[in-house]
Amino acid sequence: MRPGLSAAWLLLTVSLVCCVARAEAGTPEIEAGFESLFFRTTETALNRDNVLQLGRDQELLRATLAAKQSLGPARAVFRGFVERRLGGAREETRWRVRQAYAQYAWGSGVALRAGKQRIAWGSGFAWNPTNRVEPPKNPLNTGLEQEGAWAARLDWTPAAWVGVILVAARGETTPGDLPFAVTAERRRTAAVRARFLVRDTDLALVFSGGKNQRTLVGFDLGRDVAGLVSFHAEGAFYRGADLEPRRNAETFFRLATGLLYNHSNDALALEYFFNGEGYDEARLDAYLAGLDATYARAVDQRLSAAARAAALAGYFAGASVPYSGGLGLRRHYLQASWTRAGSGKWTLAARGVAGLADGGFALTPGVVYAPRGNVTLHVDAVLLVGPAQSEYRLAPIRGAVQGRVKVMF
Amino acid sequence: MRRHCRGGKGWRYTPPRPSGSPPPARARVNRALGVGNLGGYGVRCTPPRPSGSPPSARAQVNRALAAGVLLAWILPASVAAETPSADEILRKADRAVLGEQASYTLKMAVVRPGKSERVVEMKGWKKGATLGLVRYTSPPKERGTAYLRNGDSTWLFLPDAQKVVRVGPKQNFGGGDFSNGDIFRLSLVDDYVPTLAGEETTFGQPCYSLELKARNRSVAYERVRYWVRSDGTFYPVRAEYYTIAGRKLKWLTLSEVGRLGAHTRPTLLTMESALEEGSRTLLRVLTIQDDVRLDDRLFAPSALERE
Repeated sequence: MRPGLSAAWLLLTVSLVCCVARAEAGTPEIEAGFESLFFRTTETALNRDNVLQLGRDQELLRATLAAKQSLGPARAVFRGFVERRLGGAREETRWRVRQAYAQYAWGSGVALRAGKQRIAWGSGFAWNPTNRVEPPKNPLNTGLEQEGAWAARLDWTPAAWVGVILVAARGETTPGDLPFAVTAERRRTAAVRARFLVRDTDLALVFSGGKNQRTLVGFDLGRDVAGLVSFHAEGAFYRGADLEPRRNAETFFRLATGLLYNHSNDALALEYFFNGEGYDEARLDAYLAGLDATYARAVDQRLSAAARAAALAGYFAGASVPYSGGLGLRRHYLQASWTRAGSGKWTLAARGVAGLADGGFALTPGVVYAPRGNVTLHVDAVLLVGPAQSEYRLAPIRGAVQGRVKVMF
Repeated sequence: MRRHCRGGKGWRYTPPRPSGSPPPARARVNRALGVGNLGGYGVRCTPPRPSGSPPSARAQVNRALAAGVLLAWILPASVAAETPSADEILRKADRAVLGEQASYTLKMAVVRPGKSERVVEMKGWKKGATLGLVRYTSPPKERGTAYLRNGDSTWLFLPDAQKVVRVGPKQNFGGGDFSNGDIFRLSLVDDYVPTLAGEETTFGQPCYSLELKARNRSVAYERVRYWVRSDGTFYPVRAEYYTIAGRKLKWLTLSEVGRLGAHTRPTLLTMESALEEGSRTLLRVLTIQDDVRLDDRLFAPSALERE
């Protein structure tokens, strides 16, 4: 079945479930909104001579719609948007489904869910090394809504202290919310996650693998410390790298570990991420030199048009490396966030990710304003700073302002 | 005729209750709770009198004399016998608001000086002393947020991020003055060692005054002063929470006793901050269903992940 056809079929199923559910169920939960993701772009090693054809100002303007309807043990969910890309050479309108699934639960013990959905497992705040099923989170702004993967998922809870999840999924490996297209491969994944509560400690074991997918064994730990701070450690071992070169004979390790402290109206989170396959200085230099060489061939008029086109495709693929399923180019990162949620209408947030290997910083201050109980306005700024060769300065984005309005019914 | 019986820590004499007079308050409570003479300093014993045989005049005189002679040492012992143990008071207070299994709805209002009031409605379930779940149902922007307690662990489900986050019992609940430990403090008996400090009148109610000391450091507060009504209802009336250094953090008032579900109980819980004047959080119990049968798996952390 072609992907578009299967998507349409699943949407139809979800719609039918929604219609049937409407007949007897309670009030549906509906949410409408607008999103504006505004980017200031630039030419960098990943965008030589503006080969991505970006305007200086790029904007993704979206109208979003979400609906959730429950009928006893059945539930149907839809979340999606229509997007207009403004600025740059290619202005286009497209629509995306973030989630569209139907779920049925047999008591508290078993639930089956099918459709496009978030898997959302893993205790990491900004990085989830054990979750290879769906596109990774954007660590610069974890508040953005994530897109799910087409999947069938079975949840089995044999007791209050144990739960098992089986997933068969397929999906892209790229994060959403970028102002340019990224070369990515599609993955097919089978995964199992068993979660246990042992002596007031969360323990989860994960195994996943599939087509265009690294075989992974992961763990997840969580525990309170003195009742005030919660600690987590999520790690994974896998063979072969996500980043080029693939290094298929090597085993890599990733770990996200951190603390969450919540007091009164303040929440403070700190997370360290170790990316075992991340580039060291020599590997980064080789990567950038390879990009330069490929781009030089792409614009070399002495070569045939076919050779230049092949080189350009190679350049695009290389420039997509930081976004195509990897969780970061380098090895060591630190993410910190502070949120002050007053009981009034305002919530302030300051988030930042530091690349410890290269001195780059991504700062994401934000504010949430909720004038009424069913309206929220989020505004976040993203500022990328640091040395010229640092990861966040290599990105063809200098900064961004991301605004979202939601009205719930 | 004087009757003695042996048991407990001494001898007791119990004069017969005049025919038609109401039973003592403690006996009424014990009967209502379906228990015998629990706890206390000693054991009282009144052998049954054969029905239809009135006591003789001599027997009545003897009984009166005995009562007079023994009054001096009977009275303090009787008072002690009327007072249940601190453990018993705490155990009954634990069950005075929510029973063994219950589903309920709540409305929480967070009041901060100079800021608009934040009101949240919730639906909750509890089972035994270790399992609890609360889901926000209103306002729409907070709908779907859930707190889960299983054993000594607490998790928060954030619907926007679809993420389950582990939180500590000392961390605050829903941005208010209650901590997660306050909301899911399903058993004070398990968390604290109680001592009966005395009896006093609080908010116009005769109360037992208890001193609670935390059994371990993971409990939300090091020390709690706790007042429980001594009229046989064992409704908690007030609690004061202290740090390890003896500093008062906040206090809780339980009021507006009314019938909800199958029982009468306090329906308004007000937590006031001692650190920020004027800050308080009101938790009103809207409905309670006591006769529910809940599956343990409703309280599994993995169940939160599929919300």
